[in-house]
Amino acid sequence: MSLFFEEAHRHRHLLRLVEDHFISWGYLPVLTPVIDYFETYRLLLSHKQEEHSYRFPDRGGKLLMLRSDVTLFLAKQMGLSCGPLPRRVYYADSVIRHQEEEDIASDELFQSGAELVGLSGLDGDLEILMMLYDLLGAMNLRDWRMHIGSRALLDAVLGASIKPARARELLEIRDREELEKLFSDAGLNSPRQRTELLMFLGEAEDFVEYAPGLVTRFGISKNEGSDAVIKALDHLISLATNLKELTSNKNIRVDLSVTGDQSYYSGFTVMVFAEGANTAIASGGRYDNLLGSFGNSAAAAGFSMMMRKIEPLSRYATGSKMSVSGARGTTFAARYRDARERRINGERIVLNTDKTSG
Amino acid sequence: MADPLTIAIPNGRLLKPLMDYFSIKGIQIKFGSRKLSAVDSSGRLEFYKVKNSDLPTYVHHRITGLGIAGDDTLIESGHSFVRLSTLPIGKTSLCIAAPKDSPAVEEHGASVVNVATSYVRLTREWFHRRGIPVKIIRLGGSVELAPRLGLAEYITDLVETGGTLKANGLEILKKLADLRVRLIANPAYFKLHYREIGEFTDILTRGKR
Repeated sequence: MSLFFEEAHRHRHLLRLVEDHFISWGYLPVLTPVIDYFETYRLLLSHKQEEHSYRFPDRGGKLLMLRSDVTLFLAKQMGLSCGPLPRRVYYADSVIRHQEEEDIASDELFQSGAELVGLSGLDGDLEILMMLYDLLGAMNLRDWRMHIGSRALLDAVLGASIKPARARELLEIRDREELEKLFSDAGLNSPRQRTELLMFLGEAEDFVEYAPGLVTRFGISKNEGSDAVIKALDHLISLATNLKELTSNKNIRVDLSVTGDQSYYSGFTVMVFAEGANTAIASGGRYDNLLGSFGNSAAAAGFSMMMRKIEPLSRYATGSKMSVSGARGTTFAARYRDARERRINGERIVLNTDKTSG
Repeated sequence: MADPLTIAIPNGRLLKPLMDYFSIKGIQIKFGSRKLSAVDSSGRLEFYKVKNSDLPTYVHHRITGLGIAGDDTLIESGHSFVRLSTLPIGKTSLCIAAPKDSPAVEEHGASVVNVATSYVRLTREWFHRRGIPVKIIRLGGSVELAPRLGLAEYITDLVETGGTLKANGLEILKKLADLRVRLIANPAYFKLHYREIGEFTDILTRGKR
């Protein structure tokens, strides 16, 4: 990633806002390795993620991979030893993974995000979601929406007979016909009702009103796995009710086709869309089973933001101009003293300019 | 008033039937002479005429939020889009064809089947799914010439009537896929504008009321 002058300044300016925000919520910084052994993560990657990761052999022939997702690399560190819980951590770093065939520069992304480890349930979910919501507000984007979904609900609706990866693909492109066929082919009852449920997209307020009726309207109570569906729906209703009360509501939507872009999610999922961006600018969710893959089992939730996508859209970032004044004085010593005084008041001063008299 | 929905439409064989279809559904658009963009009479839809093969690129990069294209164009682009509806125009099929009396590809004696095509992804996927070793030769057009010139024994191509194949001494051996024309959306654009898009999709399906 190469950034120069104003663009680099904008990047740093926004990054400072993000880091200050995380620190103000009591989160501590973490750094993850940029290279690790591929075998450590292989079973946690979907086929597509594996294909999109950069892998190469070391001098001894062992396969290495570049960091393609900070959460995954962080989960290994936290899973091996995370100390007393809960832990609140944040990061800001590059990730490298294949994006576009025609543009190799797009393969390096800059992610900033936060993870809350060791706090499960509604309070943990709300802490992560509200921290993200407040941060998006501070970034001053023109128009944005936070879409909340649930992997727990998806898994419950799919049951054991359908591979989640295929269902997630179909939900992503909202292909009702194929999704209904997937349910029918798997021999699940009420395929149309299951499809309609997962296609729900509306304001948090609409969902709170609409969801309780889903159980009877779609005959879910008669279906296999109905307890898990009802439990996941109840949790999402509680989440939506709280978010409705805590936010301006217009920015929050419940979108059951949002099931997370990573295979390790297990609870709520979130994606943020903004006017001017061609993909989501932030995503995250709950992944209570991920850390256990590396040793210590602990509940966890978090989000990451695609900083390079956000920078041109954030009025906070674009509004900051790098203005610099020259020091006054005819000698170096005079200019140095003048600059020192003025820097105390927050001015940016260079010592030697063409016009050193200021 | 909110910004109009932006829609890319293909400037090729589909354009005429598409404009007729819009007209039936009560969507009135008039492109000025040599103009490549136009707003409909309601002011809520803004259309851009683009080259068929470029259409997925415009929608993927969200230059337009919506687009209308055939499955062949969409699948070959390799991008992922929200599928909003299927239009009852421009139906076609991807078929495998060869000179008369050629064996079926499954019974082809050689270790690898040579196939010339403009539809590389669709063809490769079909052969791979069946475990038939294939060498695909990419061509930009006039694929029917490939067997006669000795470039490949087989071709895959879009077939509507089969007239061009017949005129070049070829016959259809098998239909690989039915291809339809779809209204698609950039996934992020859809998420922000799903209500307005839903209204447009309703008009396309049921017509203006």
